[in-house]
Amino acid sequence: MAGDTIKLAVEDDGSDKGQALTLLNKFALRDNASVVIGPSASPLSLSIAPRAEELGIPMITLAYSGAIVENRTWVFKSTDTTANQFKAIGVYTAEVLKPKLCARVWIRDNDAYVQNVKTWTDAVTAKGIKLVDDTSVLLADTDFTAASTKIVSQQPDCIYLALSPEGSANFILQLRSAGLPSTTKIIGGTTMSTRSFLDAAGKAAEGTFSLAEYTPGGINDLGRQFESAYKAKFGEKPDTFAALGYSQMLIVGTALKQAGANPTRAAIRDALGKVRDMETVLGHGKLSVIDRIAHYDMTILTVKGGELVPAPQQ
Amino acid sequence: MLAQQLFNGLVVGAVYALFALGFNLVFGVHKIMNLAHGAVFMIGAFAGLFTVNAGLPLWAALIFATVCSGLLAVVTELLVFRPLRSTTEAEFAFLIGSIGVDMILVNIALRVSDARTLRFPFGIVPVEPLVLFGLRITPLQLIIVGAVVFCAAALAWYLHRTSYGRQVRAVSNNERAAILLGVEPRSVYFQTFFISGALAGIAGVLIGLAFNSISFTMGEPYMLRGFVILILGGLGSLVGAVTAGLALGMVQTVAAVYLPVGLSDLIVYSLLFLVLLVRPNGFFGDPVADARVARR
Repeated sequence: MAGDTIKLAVEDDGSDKGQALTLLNKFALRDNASVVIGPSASPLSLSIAPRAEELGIPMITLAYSGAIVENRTWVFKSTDTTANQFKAIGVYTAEVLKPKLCARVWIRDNDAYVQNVKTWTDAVTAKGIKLVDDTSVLLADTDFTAASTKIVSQQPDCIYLALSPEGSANFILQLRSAGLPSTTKIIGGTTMSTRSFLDAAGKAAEGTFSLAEYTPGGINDLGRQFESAYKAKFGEKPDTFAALGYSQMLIVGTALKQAGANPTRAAIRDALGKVRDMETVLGHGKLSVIDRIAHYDMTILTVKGGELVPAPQQ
Repeated sequence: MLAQQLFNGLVVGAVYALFALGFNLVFGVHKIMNLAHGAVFMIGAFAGLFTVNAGLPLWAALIFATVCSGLLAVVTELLVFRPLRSTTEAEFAFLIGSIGVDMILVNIALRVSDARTLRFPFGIVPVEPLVLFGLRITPLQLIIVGAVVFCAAALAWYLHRTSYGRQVRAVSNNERAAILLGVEPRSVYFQTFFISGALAGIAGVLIGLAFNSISFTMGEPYMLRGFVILILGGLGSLVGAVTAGLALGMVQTVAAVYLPVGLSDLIVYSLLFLVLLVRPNGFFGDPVADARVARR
């Protein structure tokens, strides 16, 4: 690129903060890397971001926590903020699905789910939708029979699930067992626009609505090319995380191009901050990096015939 | 809704009871706090799942999981607890040894499952509920309650109506005296560990079916509940294990529905603390009993 050969070094942080820190030091000090891409989890990214700042090396993470980039100049996030992302499903719930009474179920021992449900709730209650039930569970919980029976007895028009993919599937199956009518709208976050959710929920996933960063099949030509190249290489369709990883590399590639030949770390950092209206495979196909955070529109999907497809009236 | 919730709690409590029966049996007879019991329960669920995935019917999966978990518990006894029995701090060594076994089994399951949550195929048990006296009861819930009643009754019959059971009770009461009377303690250890593991395996399959979820971490919350049941029911008391298991299931379910978010666990564990203060040996234990079953 621009006369330079880009060398990609890949190491496994083992989901271990110490290992992540060791690798960051190795890349920055021994390998003289120009940019560090990763880690992908918030706890790890949060723990090494201060060191990236000290070392003066651009770091771009896939993780969701907004705190990773706060008060930093060298650290970037290739995913949008939780607030921006989940507002979309709240607005879709209120303006398109238009329920009157909703119940919400969320994981209380994980900050990402707490933020997710709060954003959705703010968006729907602002439009006058009433919450008739508020159930919180733990990430490790699998027995939702009591909560399902309680929710069904409240007869809500919609149920919002801020749970893991398997947790969402499990909850829906138990809601159906408890007698939830098929007319009740079931809505969820990004965890419900995943293959693992579809596999775990089976037919019970039919008609559910979910938030997505990536639309299966691709939202634009780039997305369609990505989808076919991914299938050719890995023998399966890409999921959201594959698309997020691809988009992250597109951001880095765009910045490297803009930084010119033989770029310094500072030049790459500046270029990362100036990425605007970049064509991507996420959301509606455009992405900009503002205040070191990638911003893009989210899409809403629904399950039809066992597959995720764009939801109507977006 | 209260009746429905009580029934839901009864079903959950029945599985807790099945889990705790095996846990308490080993503690009651051998005074071994087997912290690998949750992992054996998890392996039972995996064994059942692999059997079904191999194309065999559910009843075969239940049998395979039962045998597999039972043998796993026996192997643990042979390789871990038996060599530690002669050490001076045996009880502490048992605890540490069982933690080691738990970690090994959990890590094997983590590798095998690729850290994914697995599930039994859809349609393996009919899901259409029956409506009886206003209660929605699924066939699976009936299977769970039936299996637990059968297992508890079979265990009671085995312990109190067979010569093998008499040997188990004799060892539980006084191992040395039992040896002098001609009881072979190794055979008793084999029996109790096999039964304990088998019960955990059945519980694992039932939980995997009921909650559509089989993962390498699934034993952890049940171990915690197993401790609560052990304390509430009385250390070594099998009647206590069943009663406390059912009670815990119902209290937890009703508390989750009628109390503010997050208070359910607070109440359960406060109750546990209270029981420890006023009845340190639980509701069905007494100060001199190592195992209630021993004196029956």
